[in-house]
Amino acid sequence: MVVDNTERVTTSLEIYAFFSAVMPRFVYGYLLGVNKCVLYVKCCHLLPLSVFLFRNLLLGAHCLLDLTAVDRFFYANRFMLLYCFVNLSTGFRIFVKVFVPEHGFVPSLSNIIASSNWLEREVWDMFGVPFSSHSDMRRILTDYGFSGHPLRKDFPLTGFIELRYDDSLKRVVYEPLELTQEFRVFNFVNP
Amino acid sequence: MYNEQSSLGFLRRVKNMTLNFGPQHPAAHGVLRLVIELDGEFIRRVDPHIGLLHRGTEKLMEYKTYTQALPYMDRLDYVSMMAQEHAYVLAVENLLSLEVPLRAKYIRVLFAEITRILNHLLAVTTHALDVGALTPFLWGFEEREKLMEFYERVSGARFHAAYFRPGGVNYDLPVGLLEDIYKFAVSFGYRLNELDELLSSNRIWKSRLKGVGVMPAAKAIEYGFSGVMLRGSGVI
Repeated sequence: MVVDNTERVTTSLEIYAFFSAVMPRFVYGYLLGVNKCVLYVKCCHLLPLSVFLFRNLLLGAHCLLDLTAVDRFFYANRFMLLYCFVNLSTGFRIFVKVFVPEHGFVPSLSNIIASSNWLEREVWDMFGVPFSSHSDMRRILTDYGFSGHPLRKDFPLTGFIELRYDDSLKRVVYEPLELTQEFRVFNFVNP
Repeated sequence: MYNEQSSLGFLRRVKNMTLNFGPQHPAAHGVLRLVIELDGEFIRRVDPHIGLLHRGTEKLMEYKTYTQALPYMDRLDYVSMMAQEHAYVLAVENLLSLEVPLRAKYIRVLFAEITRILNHLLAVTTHALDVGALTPFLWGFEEREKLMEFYERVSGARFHAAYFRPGGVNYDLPVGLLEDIYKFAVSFGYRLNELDELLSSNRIWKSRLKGVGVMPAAKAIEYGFSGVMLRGSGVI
């Protein structure tokens, strides 16, 4: 794939100038770095901004590489979603950060960007952030019939149920968790 | 399947067949469950259940310090151990803005590259094994043994090395290792040529793989492919 980079927006300062000229109301904060920049976006502006980012030929960020979230437990806007768009010819990464309250909805990008389908399912599964108008909002990584969202900070490491093979029933059974020993933390100072 | 009377006589109406593949299947590497909709021999739709391999590494790491969490990285991808460690270590250094000694950087890149060779040898030769060629697998694994010996000399472990650290590496290289890596690197090209002669122009290899599972470049980018998958589609 031959790509001409002469006309493109390739540095983070250029990205800053570009966004403040083209869509100033949509981005309320910037964090500029070497070969990357972070755009802070409100939840209601996420969909138009992502479509713009994804389709724009000057930015060339046609690949949504990753979507993840952070559970900031004590904040009112509990979850921070982080979208990572990458320009494959320059390696420039544009991160889009969105803050979502605990019972908030996020617009789904799955109708526009194919790769966001599974990524959104993963964020829903792990953090419990729901995406509106997603066509296939099932769990993706956890067990069949699992309840709860494991990467939330209030989900315990050991979980709630355990799985074992019952020799008399000749099948695998689910049981409430019983631990014979407290969780031990080995945090010694290196001598 | 059932028969139905129509103006043309008897017509057989056929339905697609839904098939469950896995989670344990001798032809699948690891545990992957696919619910496949088949139309004769062609797969029309697949619903992959990928979660059977999930082990909650992030959750486990929440309860660990940065150094303690490092060995989990080896186990994420057990054929590119130090590459995973490298990514993790770089992330931690980026967060803490650590300055890494130049020698440590060189050692890490050297071992990340060794890991890449290790990985690609496994990937290509087991692929050949799946296609039906056993010999490249045996040849490739002989080379892998040599590389894993380097792993062992530097960290004590053949696979799960836990050798990198945030800010450098665990130990300096032992005496004489670089000499041996050089000797390996000189002879490895010939081994690759042997593999190349065996596979690249092989008629069976080509007839079984050409035009199978092609992913167009635009689709690959849209689906967020990266690394070798993207290269396979002709991007970059």
